[in-house]
Amino acid sequence: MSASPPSRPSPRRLAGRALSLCLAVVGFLLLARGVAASNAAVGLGQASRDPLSVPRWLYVATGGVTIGASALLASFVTDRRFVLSIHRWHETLPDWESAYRAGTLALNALGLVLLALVVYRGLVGPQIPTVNLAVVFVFAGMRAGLTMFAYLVGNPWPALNPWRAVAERLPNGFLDYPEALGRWPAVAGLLALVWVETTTPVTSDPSLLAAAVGGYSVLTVVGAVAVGVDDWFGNVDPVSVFFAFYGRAAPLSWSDGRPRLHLPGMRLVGDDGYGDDESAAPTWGMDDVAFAVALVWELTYSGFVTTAQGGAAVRALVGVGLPPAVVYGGLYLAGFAAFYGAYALAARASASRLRTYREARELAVRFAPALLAIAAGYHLAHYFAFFVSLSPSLFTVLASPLSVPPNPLVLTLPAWMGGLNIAFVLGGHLLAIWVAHSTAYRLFPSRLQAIESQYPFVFVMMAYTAISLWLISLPTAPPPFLP
Amino acid sequence: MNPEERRDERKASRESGPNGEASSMTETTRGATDRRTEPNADAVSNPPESYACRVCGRAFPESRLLVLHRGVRHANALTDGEKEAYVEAYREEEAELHSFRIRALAVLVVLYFGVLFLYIGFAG
Repeated sequence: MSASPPSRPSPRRLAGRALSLCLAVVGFLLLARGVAASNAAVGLGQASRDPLSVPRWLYVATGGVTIGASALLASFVTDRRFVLSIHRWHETLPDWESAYRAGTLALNALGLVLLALVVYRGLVGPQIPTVNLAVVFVFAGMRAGLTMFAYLVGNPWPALNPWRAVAERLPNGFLDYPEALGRWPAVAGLLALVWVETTTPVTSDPSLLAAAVGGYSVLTVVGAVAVGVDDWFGNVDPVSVFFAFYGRAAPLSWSDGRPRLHLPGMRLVGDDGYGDDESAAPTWGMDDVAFAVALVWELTYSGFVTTAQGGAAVRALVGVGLPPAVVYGGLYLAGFAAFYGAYALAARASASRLRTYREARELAVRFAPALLAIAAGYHLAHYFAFFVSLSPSLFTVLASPLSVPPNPLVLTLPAWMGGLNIAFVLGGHLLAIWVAHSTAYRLFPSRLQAIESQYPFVFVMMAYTAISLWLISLPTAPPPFLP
Repeated sequence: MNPEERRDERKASRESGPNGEASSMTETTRGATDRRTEPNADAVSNPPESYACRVCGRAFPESRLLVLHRGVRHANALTDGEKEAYVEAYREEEAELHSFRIRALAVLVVLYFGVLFLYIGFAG
């Protein structure tokens, strides 16, 4: 076919693009300045001579407006080729096949050693959470550090996973995994694990944590041997699915044993139909949507119950006569249902507003990866400071795992770290906006439809941002009624 | 005219096959395998207002959308008439996008000054 495309963009187009980029940057900086100012005000909330105190609702609204305005600015980018080139860009790095094999074996061994250490030190080590290897490694190392590595660099869990290393070397796959279950077991598992983390003393009682990890190991290996390694770790094991989902936001991935570098978050935009990368866009279902929403929700929930206001809400509900466990459980499940419902409603609104035969379900599934960028931003906001302040303890316990560290060191962080949290939350949302924009251009032949299809999702994202910014602005307190 | 998109398609087809025709075939097969069948079912159930793509079978509620779809997805399989229709539809859409950009800019200005005045009124 013979249209004659110019070999490169015309000067006029370039100028237009530069202008819209400038607009985007200026607009964002103007809005971001407002947020930064409001953050300082929130941080100094009690200081009476504070020259600029911004009411909390205004700070929260500014965050929402930032997301909405960014979505509008993104909609100025209507050049399909540019959108495509951003998410398709990749470098295939040199082939390190032998290094990959050796590295996988070494990581397998490392994972097994660490699992043994967690159980052993948890049971016989000092029963003090800040110096016990089990607690420090599981929460500062895995929950915070390894998860950050999974979305900032690449997902090392498949190689590190000790349960997989064991189950793979045993005869496995005696039962057929029921396809109808999809990834729902992992959704339930993730919700259950976060529930255990929030309401039981696993974070403060090393021997309980060791027992829980031991029990989980037995369950996982037995399950993986029963239904087969791939089915178990792909659909049931919440830890593996957790890392795999976060890993999709990472720039580095392995394809055929070769590392491949994408722009951060751009692997979230699935390639449908033609293209070089079909395997990178697995067909998702509503179970995957639920898992992505659960990742966003669990961070919001653990943020909520650790604020003074969240504690007050729990106390008020308990005061009415409800048992604390019911209050925590009810808030947890009701909040998840609300987040999931809001997202599903957005998909329905998007499908019904457009003249298209694409169904709400398909739109929900296709736009869901954008939620992973949001979850990564929240995770960084919740765990970055925690990880940095505990990293000396982590290195101490890993350097001498069998001895008790004489003087555990916990860093005190400067106050401006609080401002970073706002940047992380907004950054995750801005990435999600671009992922949604790029996805919409893959779905709709009409560019106006592509723009309009995003509106309901943008509103949901604005709501998520507002809630999250509100939570990180509140003073923290230990949750009441919990051991 | 829409050179970018046609380039896209060419690039895609270069990646998927050695020559144009074979690659558009490949594209069709892939398109057919990873798409759900609902659109076709819809096409059968409401024939009066659905327009099915002859290459990949995906149905659209408006002929304009089908024309755009053909241009974006199957640039290599267009007849001259279809190409002309696509260029026409693309130009029309460009005009709509132009008016959209003006409205979006107006909303941005309102948002910006709205937030500014809120800060003047409430922060202090």
